Amino acid sequence: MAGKFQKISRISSLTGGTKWYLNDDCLLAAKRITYVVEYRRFYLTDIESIVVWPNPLWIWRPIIPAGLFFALGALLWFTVNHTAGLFCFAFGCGWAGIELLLGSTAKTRIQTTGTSVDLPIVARTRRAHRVLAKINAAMQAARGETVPQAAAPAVGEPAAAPVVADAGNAGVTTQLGDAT
Amino acid sequence: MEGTKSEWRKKDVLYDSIALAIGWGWIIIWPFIIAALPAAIILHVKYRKAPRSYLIPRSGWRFWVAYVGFAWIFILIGGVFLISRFFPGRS
Repeated sequence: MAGKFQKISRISSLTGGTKWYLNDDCLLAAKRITYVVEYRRFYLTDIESIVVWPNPLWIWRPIIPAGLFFALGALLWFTVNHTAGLFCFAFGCGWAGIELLLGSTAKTRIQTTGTSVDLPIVARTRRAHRVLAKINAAMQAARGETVPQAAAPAVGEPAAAPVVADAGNAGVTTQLGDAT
Repeated sequence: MEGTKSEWRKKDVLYDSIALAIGWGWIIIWPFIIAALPAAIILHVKYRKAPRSYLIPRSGWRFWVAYVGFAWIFILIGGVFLISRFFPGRS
């Protein structure tokens, strides 16, 4: 395995999470489940596409805690005192505000030669451009391509050529040059 | 290792993180310290080189921090005892 791994992304979860690393020839997912790390390596030359899109259920992340804290705040407002109620309202607003600022959560599909894997590569879609740009540059370097000045955006289904796509913005995909 | 040509898998067991969890977690059920301390020492001795051999190498600091987890309560109690002995209150 050539080169040193560079961490490009981290997705935390209650049981551990996934860290993504990049080196000269591969993309590595280190998925931690309690005290075991499972590594999955994807050769850069074999990656056909990486598609990131917003999770449609993410909107519940601000709505549910805000609703619960508003309900608790209302209960405390009428039963205990106004200060406790206001504290809950503020906490609920803060939680929802942070979630809205962070933006939508992301889902990812990595298509390689012969397999397709759904593994989150970024926690939020707003970071997808930065991470995908790093992978894009590494893929082009691994394939011996020159980095284009401005990648031509294309709308629609991914083509046969390698694609590193962020489907978070109205399905716009960035198409790379021919890998062959 | 398994998988297709473009996908490759490997697993590492994080013995240093297990030792760290034992070292700081024993206090939840305190009599477990009887088994937890030897377990942490055995993990440290047996797998001291494991973190450096992981695919993404780690340093072995977690093994040492586990001992802090065993010691902190005794250091705290001892410190309070010594402070109360050398700096007695006005009462």
